[in-house]
Amino acid sequence: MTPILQIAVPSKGAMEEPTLRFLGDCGLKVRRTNSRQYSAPMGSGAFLQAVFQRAADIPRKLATGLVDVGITGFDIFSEHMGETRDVIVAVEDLGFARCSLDLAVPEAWLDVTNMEDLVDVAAEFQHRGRPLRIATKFPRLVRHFLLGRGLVSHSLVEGTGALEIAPAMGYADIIADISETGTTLRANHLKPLADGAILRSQACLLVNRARLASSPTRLEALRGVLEMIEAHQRARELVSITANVEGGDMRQVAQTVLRRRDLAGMRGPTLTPVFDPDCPDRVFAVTLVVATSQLAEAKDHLRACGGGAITVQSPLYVFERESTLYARLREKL
Amino acid sequence: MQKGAVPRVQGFHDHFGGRYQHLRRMVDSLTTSFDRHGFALMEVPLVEGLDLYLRKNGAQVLSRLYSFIDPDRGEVALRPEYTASVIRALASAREITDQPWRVSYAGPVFRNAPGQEGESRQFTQAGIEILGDSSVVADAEVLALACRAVRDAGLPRVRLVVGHLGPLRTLLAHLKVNGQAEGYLLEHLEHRYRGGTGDETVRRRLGLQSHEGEGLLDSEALPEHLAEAVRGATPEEARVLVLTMLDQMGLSIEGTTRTPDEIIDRVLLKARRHAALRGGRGREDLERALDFTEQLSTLRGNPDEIMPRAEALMAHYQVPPEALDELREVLDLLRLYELDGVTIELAPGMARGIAYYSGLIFELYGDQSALGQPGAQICGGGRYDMLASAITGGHGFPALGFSFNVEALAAVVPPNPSPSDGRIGLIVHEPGQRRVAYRMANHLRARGFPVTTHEPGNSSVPERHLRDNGYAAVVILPLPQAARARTEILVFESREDHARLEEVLAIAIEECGFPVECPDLIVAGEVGQ
Repeated sequence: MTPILQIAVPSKGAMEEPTLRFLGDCGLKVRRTNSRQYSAPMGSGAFLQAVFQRAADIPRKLATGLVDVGITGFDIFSEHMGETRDVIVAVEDLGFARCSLDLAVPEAWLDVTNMEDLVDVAAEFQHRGRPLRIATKFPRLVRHFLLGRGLVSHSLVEGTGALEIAPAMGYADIIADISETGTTLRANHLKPLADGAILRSQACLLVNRARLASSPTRLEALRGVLEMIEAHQRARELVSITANVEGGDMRQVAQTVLRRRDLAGMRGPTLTPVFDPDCPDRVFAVTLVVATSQLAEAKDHLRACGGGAITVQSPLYVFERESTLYARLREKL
Repeated sequence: MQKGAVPRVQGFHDHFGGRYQHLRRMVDSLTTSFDRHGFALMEVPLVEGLDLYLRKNGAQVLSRLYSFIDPDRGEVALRPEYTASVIRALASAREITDQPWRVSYAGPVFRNAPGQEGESRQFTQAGIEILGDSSVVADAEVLALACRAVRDAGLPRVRLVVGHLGPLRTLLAHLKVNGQAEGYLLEHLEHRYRGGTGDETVRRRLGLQSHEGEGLLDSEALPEHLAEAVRGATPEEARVLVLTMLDQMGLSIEGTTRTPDEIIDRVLLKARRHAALRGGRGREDLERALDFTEQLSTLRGNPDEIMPRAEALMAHYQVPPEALDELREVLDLLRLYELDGVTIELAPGMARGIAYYSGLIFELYGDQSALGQPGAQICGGGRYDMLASAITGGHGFPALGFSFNVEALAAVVPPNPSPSDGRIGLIVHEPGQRRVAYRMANHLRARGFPVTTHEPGNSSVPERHLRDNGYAAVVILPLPQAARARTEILVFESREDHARLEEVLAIAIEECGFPVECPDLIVAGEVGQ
């Protein structure tokens, strides 16, 4: 059977492992039997196919319609955004591969701490007969940022691999590069500028608008993918708490719990009778689904309602009546 | 592979038919005007090294450059305007001597518009440059030429907005505010003049306000302890202090692309600026310059009314009054040109974005006040005496000029009302007539008539078809076997000068040896009925 939807997945880079883990967590496990395979079935059926690509190539593969969907960094997407209108973002925050694109200068440049300093220094370079050189893998984003900040006189040195070394080696004066924590910058005696953050990025899901708009089958397959991603993301934000609460009758217990409406579950508490032989018809298992951040408060509330034996579980997936991600995508198509 | 028709690239347009002819007529009219005023037409490459534009343009234009990599040159870009190329070309072509150069240009320029689907990315500029003339007489000449050219192109009324960077630049020189701060103030002037509000950005940039909006200074500007330490020290002491401090921090000042001296000099410069801004004269001066900028940005209107207000403002801020002399002189000179239909507005607070403007600046608008509309900008320009040295990297010369946005001009000039484009259709009814027809067509073309030949075949009324397609006249050759071998001329009534056209056409055809018959004029509705 030919797969319906082809999904580009980053391979051979920092994004590969977290992407595969994320897809597995979403119930979309990539079933690759050996690491040399260029494609592999994905999820439980045969209609999804993962296609392995370098993260940097994924926007272009999408633009040419070779794949329908892709996962890559938002930084990479933004850099290539100008090339086509057919590639759009369906999910901008997959929640992993977080990093930022920053301008960084040598630590020894004591006089340079922000963009205004850099503009001055660029003018000094120009005055001495050559522009300030910036090494980067993201020429478009960097140029756009620099021009927006009034740093007009500059030239970009496009590089691959470790750019942090460029200033010390002398082929660039400063760099604009991706970092997760800034450790690599510091190790190479570079410092980010206070207002030199060009872009904050994380993994995102891209789609080829034309390929999806033209095929209801592909769109339906994508709806399934989006549902799983959304359900997984929601599940991470919610916990399910169950407590045994003693009270007069079911209604009375429910009303006690509902005194804190904000801690009484998504629509209200679920009550199930507990057949306690010592206390017949007076004990109920109360189950609430609340935000993970409200767990401690909800636990205290249930105790205050007379609850004990409180157990907490994480849901695997949380599906709403309909998928918000899918509805948003339909609007963009 | 994708199937189906290949689409147009977003933002680029096909041009044909009457609208394109109108656009071409605008270009021809402008270049003819420039030519009559002694400006020689020139052309420059569509592609230039990116660095050329980086040296000249402001961020507004640069962020819209179409740039790409050329294997030989590196980063190159499609031209977003002409001036930078013209100056590059002429500076390398020959020495600018005491004899100024007058050149003109017309052609396509390109500006990308990321994310804006509807916006055109290619448009036509036509303009002039005078290189090597720093006189006020040249300023007035350029203004007058812009007004004349637009009138010749068919726009009877325009609004000319004239400004001058003299007042602000004089005050800044007087207060010794320069470099980056001057640029920030000019940008702020432009921001306010175009209706922008607020001054937080400029205050922050000038260091009058911190990023947080509290306190006097940007705490990030220098490591605080460093600023404290070097205050009051002599340059030599400060240098030792800085190096000692670096040593303590375990940092080496070597091994970057700037020398230790360059870094230390700028640290000291910042520390001094720091101290000055903390309450000294530097701060007062910047506040004063900013106030003046704000006041200046509000001045715009009738010169008789604005000039005295500008003078009063100058006096109040103790700017030498001579700063307005050039502007006054330009306005006086302009009167001698006896321009009709030009409403002059004075706007000493106009800045026109680019930091290279040094004196006169101006913009032309189609005057649509009768329609209750402000009118679109069709032309802009000014004097940029510092530009040449920035582009050539040393050797400078004065320069000024303007450019029309031809599409904007074409949009406000009514198209030529004549529906006919003057073409003449020569109708060939059968193959035996071809030789004669081609000879006659060439003969008429040599006399300046645009001619096409037609073989209508089975179409019974080719005349009507040609009339509907904007032809001025048709010429019908006699059939070889016909008894009366006379050529027939039909001139359509839609053509205003039809009688005259009929006459000259008849003469031309007879000169070629073909007897002519002219039936009565064909009224538009009658053709082929």
